[in-house]
Amino acid sequence: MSPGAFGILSTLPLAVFFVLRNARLRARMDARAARRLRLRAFLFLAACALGSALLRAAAGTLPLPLAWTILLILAAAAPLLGVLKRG
Amino acid sequence: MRTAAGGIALLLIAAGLFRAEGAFLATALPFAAFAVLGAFFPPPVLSLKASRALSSRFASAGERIRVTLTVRNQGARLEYVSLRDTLPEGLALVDGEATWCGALEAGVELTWSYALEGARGLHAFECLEAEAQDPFTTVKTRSTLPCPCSVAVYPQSFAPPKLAFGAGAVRPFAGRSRAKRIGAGTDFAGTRDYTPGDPLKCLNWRAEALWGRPIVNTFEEERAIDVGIILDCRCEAYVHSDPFEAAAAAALSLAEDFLDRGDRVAFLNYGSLISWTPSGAGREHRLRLRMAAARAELGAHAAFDRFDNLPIRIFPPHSLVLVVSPLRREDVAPLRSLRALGYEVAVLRPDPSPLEEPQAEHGAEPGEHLATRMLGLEREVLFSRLLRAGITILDWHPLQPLAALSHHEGRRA
Repeated sequence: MSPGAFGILSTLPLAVFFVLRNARLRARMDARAARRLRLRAFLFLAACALGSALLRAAAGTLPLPLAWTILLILAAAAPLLGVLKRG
Repeated sequence: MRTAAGGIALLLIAAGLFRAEGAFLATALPFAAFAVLGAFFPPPVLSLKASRALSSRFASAGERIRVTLTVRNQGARLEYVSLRDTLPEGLALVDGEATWCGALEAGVELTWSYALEGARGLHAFECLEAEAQDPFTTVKTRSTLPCPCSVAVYPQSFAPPKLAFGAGAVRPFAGRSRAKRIGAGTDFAGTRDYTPGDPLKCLNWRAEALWGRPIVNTFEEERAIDVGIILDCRCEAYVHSDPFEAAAAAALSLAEDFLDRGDRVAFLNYGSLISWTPSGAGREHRLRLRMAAARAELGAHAAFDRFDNLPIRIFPPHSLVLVVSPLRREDVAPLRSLRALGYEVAVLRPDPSPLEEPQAEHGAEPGEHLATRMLGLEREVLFSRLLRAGITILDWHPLQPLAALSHHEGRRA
């Protein structure tokens, strides 16, 4: 599987989630909010697909333990950052 | 959802580490990104002000109450806000929705309404629950918007019985209650010899033809009286709550009927506590009485277990005291002493048993038949003791119309 197809496939569950949620909220949101939500979801999914594809392509060249360690640190630090940010 | 995405991301990362496979890591990226996204977006700030308006502060049971809510956004635009009104217990939604969802522009005033129906009682509205969220990151902010309000749901009125009550003392104003003295009225009281000055319309021609001298009819004067209504709220007196609801409705119906006649009415709830509405008349007083009937609730208190502690001095002397109570055996002595003090005492006795159609005697179980008969005998003894003291008794089954009520005559020996 090519890295591009892999990137798209890996974002598919989130894309389904966004579509379902938009469908649920669309009836109760105004057009401006719905359009903004669609745009933000599309940009986010595109960025995720790109990131995932790049990571998949780089996974063969980068030393894997290093990449995993960086990602693990990010995954552990993100909630902490969120808590600090919210005070 | 963010928690679920974070969990999936961690699982995939763990699987990648365990299997030493980069594909798992790449798959984890979108989930991890979604999980951490909310941490970098500020939650929406709720700056809302709410107010509530009711179609009426007083409504009879079963009547629709329309609630109109107005919410003003004093802050920035909210992409998605959900407003939910907390309904008081005892009120049910019959029209519209108590929730509203959507986007709210800055400075915009939102108004929506819904209708409620409810059971008797004093119902208090507290606050509106607001929840704003960023639909993209699902970051939520919750807040409560106070908009207190209350509505009194009073019992549905029955058609009152066509009974004439009197009192030892009357007020110097015209009314429709018997004054027990001869004067201008509509109820026939007797006849007497004609004296010059008597209105000719009162001449009784048949009596004159019989006795050979002019005879005139006399009438009982009708005046306004003071009435005190005591609603029995002692839970020991009732087997079930339905008869109490019927008693409250009957008490209010009688009170409103007395008000319509021009009398002054006082209302007393006697139960776990004493709630007293002083004597009065007029439209405002009608609302006070409705509030008292709405507020009545069953309760128990050792001090008010019997009618011994009735605060009887709050009733004007020689006034009519109407007790709405299923009556207990111990209540006879306090009521007789009330009568001995000079009050006109009447008792409206709603049947305290659950509201079911009375079974035919031949269809009931033998034990049930015997119990019914014993209860009937006990009731007759109770009534005869009250009747001997000169107390008027109105025996009423709540499934029967109050308008068809008549005085209980007792069992003749």
